[in-house]
Amino acid sequence: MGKEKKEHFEILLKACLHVMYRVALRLTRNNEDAQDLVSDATVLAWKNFSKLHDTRKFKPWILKIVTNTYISQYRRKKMNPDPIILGNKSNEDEEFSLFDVLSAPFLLWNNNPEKIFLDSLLRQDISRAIDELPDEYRLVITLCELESLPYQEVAKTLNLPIGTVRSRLHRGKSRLQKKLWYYAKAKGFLKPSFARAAEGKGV
Amino acid sequence: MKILSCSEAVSRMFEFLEGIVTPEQKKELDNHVEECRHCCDRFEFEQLFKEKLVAVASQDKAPEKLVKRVGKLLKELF
Repeated sequence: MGKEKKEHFEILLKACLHVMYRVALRLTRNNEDAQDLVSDATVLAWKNFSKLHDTRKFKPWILKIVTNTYISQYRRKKMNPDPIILGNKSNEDEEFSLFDVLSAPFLLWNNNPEKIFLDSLLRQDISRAIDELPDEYRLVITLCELESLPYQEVAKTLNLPIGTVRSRLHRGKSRLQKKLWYYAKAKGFLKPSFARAAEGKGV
Repeated sequence: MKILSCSEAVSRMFEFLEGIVTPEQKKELDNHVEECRHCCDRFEFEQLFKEKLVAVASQDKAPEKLVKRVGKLLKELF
């Protein structure tokens, strides 16, 4: 390939390096594996760069390569198997809404409990909650929710119908909220009276 | 224009956050949350929750080690 093409590839790739790493980190859940995944995806992307006709679509294209490389190579190795699920596994897919447990009428004296709860969540709590999601949910949450890729792109990347992507996103977010609720209780973010009252709602 | 129930409004707010509602569907949602305090609060919460997730996730940057590694790799590939 010509010098111009190489320079173009380099500019596009470097502009996407942070997002590639972020996605790789969410998929592999490990810094070293994430860096290896980005390197492997870079090699594959360069090999196939001539097939990308519209370079404005470089970002979804490269993220598709990162995701597919993860699925075909890293996931098979099972280096970081899905962790044990917190809570009762049998009801893991039950609909859960943080808002519902935080907005109980008897808590109205508390000034905006939803916002207080969100403010109290730490970066590591949210990262851990995402990392603990099974692959099927973590993949769609990473691509759709965190990186705002269109459903069509995610559906094509994962070779799934759009409806499946949407339902996984919905269930994944529900699980995520449930995990954050457990963390908040376990770490004592919530006043005992607050947590007990919400428990009374069947959480 | 359709008048939404609370459960329809909740579904619609998720669709809005996913970026797949038409202007008319958004207007139906707006009409509902203007009248319903509970759904209005929920809509605000779900938006804040998404913003929090995105803000946390976007803090991760490629380490300097990786930036150098990729730079070296590109030289080898070219």
